[in-house]
Parts: sequence; C-alpha cells; structure tokens
Amino acid sequence: MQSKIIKDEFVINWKRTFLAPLKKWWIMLICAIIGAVGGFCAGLIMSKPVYGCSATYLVSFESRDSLGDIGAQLGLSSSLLYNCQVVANQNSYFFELEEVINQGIDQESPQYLTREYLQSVVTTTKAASGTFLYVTVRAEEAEKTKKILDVVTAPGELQTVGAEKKMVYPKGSVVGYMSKMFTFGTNTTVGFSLINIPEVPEKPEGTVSKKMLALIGGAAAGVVAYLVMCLVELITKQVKEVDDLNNKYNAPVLGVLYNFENSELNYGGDKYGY
Amino acid sequence: MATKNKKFISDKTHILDENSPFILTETMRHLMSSISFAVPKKENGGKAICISSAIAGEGKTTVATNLAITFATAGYKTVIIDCDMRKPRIKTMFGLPRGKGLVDYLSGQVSFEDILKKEVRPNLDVVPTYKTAPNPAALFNSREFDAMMDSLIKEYEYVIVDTPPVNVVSDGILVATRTDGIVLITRPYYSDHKNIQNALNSIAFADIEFLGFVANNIEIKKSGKKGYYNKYYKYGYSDNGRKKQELKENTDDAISNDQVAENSQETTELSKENKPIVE
Repeated sequence: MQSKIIKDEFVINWKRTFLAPLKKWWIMLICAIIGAVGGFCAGLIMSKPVYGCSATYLVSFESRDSLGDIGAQLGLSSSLLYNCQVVANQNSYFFELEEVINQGIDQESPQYLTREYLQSVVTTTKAASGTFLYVTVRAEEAEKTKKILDVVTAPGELQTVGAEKKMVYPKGSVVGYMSKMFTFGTNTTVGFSLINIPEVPEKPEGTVSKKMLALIGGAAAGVVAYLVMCLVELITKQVKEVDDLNNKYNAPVLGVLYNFENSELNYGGDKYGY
Repeated sequence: MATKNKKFISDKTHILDENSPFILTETMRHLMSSISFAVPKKENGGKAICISSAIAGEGKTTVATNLAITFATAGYKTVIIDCDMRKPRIKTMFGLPRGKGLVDYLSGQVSFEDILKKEVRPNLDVVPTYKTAPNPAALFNSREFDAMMDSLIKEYEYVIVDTPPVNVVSDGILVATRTDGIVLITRPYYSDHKNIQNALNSIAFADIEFLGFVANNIEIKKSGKKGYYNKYYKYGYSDNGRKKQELKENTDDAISNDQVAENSQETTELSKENKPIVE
C-alpha cells in the first residue's frame, strides 16, 4: 500500500547540485594531479626525438611582359608561390625523391625510405609575406635528415644547353622539380635562391610540449571530475538536507540533530550558554 | 562550568549529561516538544513512541537514548526499552552491568522486576536487552510482550522504544503496532529516498501512526551573523552570567564589574587550556 505521505513531486536543487561538489574539492585536486601526471607521461611517450631542419628559398620572378601595377604583381607572386607549394607536394616528386635517396638500397632493407615516409618528413610551406618558400625536413635520426636534406636542397649548376645557358638541378632537388613541372611562360623566369645554410641540429627537438600536456591533462581531469560529481549529486537519491524531507514527504521534520563530532560543540557554557 | 566535555560511547555518539553543550540539550528539548505534540492525545496512560529508521546506522539508538534522558530530565517518568534483539546497544549506552534482559523475560525465564533497571538516571528506567534472540518476531507477538507494554504505558508517562530498522527486519513494525506512533531517523548522504519510501509504505500498511522524521547528523553552520550559534548565544545563558549569579548568591556585597572581568579572563584562559574551572 502506497503511503499517502509520499509526494509525487520531483524537485531539482540546481544550486546545491553545482555547489555541493565543491565541498569535496580534494577529489578534484587528486584527479587534476593524476591528469597532470598522465599528461606528462603521454608527452614523454608521444614526444619522439626529431631532427628538424629548414631550407629557405627566396622566390623571384622576372617577366618581360607588362604585369600591371604592384597589386597585380603581388597577386601574381602569391599565386606563383602557392602553385610552387602544390607542385612540391605532388606524389611524382616524392617518387623521384624516393628513387634518388634509395639508390643502391634494397627495397626490403630497413634503411629503405619509402615514398610515404618521405612525404611525412618533408614539408613545404610559403611565407605570409609571399616571397619565401620553406622546405623542412624532420626525421627521427640526424643521418636521415641530412641525407634527405642534401638531396632535396641540392644546388643546381649553370650548364649550356644548346644555345642557352640554363640552371640544371640534380634529380630529387625540389627546386629542380618545380622548375621542370611549372611552366612560367617564355617571357617569365622564376628564380629560387637559397638564402640560408640548413644545418641538422646536434640535439633533437621534441614534437610535443610535456608541460602543456600536463597542464591540459590536469585541467581536463579536474573539470571532468567536477562534472561527474555534479552528475552524481543530481542523480543520487539520497537525502541530502532537511529540505529534501520537506519537499518529498507530507510529514513533519520533528527535529534536527547536529553532528556531535563537530569540535565547536565541545565548548559548553562559555560560548553557547548552558 | 566551562569544561571540555566529550563523553562518548564510541567516537560518533554522545550521551547527554549535565555537562553536555547547550546546543545539544536544546535540540533534544526541541525534539522532545515536537514529539509530545505529534503524539495523539490520550485520555489516560502514557505515550509510547517507537524510534526506528529505514536502514541501519542512522542513529536510532543514540537518538532514543538521548530522547529518553531529555524526557526524564524534564521531569517525566520515562522508561526506555531496547527492542533490538539483533544488535542491543542500550545497555552499552548507559553502561549497565551484565544481567538479565528482555529476551530472558519474554522467554519466561525471569520476572519483569528482574530486568527493569530503575533510576538509571533521575526519572528514567531502562529495560535492556543483553542476549540476541533467533526468533524476535515470535517474542514480540507473545502475550508477555503485550502485557509488558500495557503495564509500562499505564505506569510511565513516556515509553521510548528502540527498534531495529524497519526495512531490514519485521520486528520494528511489530513493536510499533503496540505504540502510539513511530518516528523515523534519517541521515543526510546516508538515507536513501527509496528506502524511506519502502519504510513509509510498510508503516502505512501496518496502519501505524507516523509521527514524523528526525534529521540526524546535520552539519552545523559556522558561527557568524547568520550562524546558528549566534542565535543561541543571544537566548542562552552565558557562562559569565552564570558565574556572576553564583558569586552574587555567595556574598552579600554587590559584584563589581572589575571582579566579573577578572573572573571572565580567568575563565577564558582556563577554558583555552581545557582545564576545569570549578573543581
């Protein structure tokens, strides 16, 4: 038989739902510490040693045709650089690079660098200013980085081809490939000038910041812990305070007895009367 | 007497005595008043109140003990019966020596006078339980139990009955049918609404008068402008006031303010050291 004392109302106390978990701040602190440690450990695992090196090319073009005003010229140079970047990332370039780098190495050998691997370690980006092209090589071993870099940034030689002198680049060179694949027109010449001497660093750099991961892990764990505690507070069907009894049942609360363990209750008379 | 008083049966129980903090005695007096108003009026005979809870561990025995002491302190002739034959604790609460209890009486081994502990506190008698019984329901359904309850209700003004949890065993409901009403003890972050609802349904099914809830082990708010303490400090007697009254009664001369301040300072210093002020 259902007691008539039980009400059918469902009341959510949102303020208590979000404030009550804050009393157990130590749980959130422990979770944040665990999250920070986990993030740091993840950084240690994910952070592989990388030997990175970047070659910077100044891209210039000269045209005997009228290119219009400076705005048109800037637009043309930006478009040119974009196209260079696209060309340098083509699969056929990496096929060529693979062929050159792996000369004399058996395909089954562990030292064989595949096209996919080369595509993952060689990246080409253009500068926001619009006239610089960066070719970056980032491999897990310094020898690999140097080997790839030497091929990618191999300089060209001025050679006489027929009646003209032309810059001829070795196979695998990114500039050579771009020059070969990108037709600029008969009246327009494009020049790529290497303006830095790329050197492979002695010490590797980490790909992932461990401190940042620790911070993110700690913050995320703390927030997740708080949200879980709020959810538990919301869904738990325990009596939480006297108002719960008043809201849920048509019966009086005859008395409220306090926590006898409270140390402040130990003072008799002096503070609270007798 | 501002002494540090902490009389515990265990770490989590406090039995009221003359040194108990004002706030504890006052809350129990408030509960006593509420219960006495909640119990249906009777033309003759005392009021029998069953103290129970939905599940174990909510503080039934402690509340029942302190409630009985409060009624007795208020001048009512009171008896408390330990009807928890699975975990009897009233004997421990009052520190009673080993002897015969309710199980022995209901089994017909001893008479009622042999188990009744008289004047354990002024105006308070105790019917303890020592042995655990394998068949409490049968004992509570016996004529001896009915006769005992009728006799106690006639003789005493308040009969407090400590029972097992209602949801755990049927003893609580059986005993409560012999009383004028049942009070459920609840604890925050311990009692479950589902358990309370099951208990209320059982009480309703047995047609027992449900008097109300007692919220136990509530965290007290800190002192301050809106603090509970501040409100009581205004209405309660301070130790300074009481000491002043004692000094005034002992001497014919008027007490100067300097002397009161000096005593107050001494009181504060000694209380900080947790030493008794009046030996």
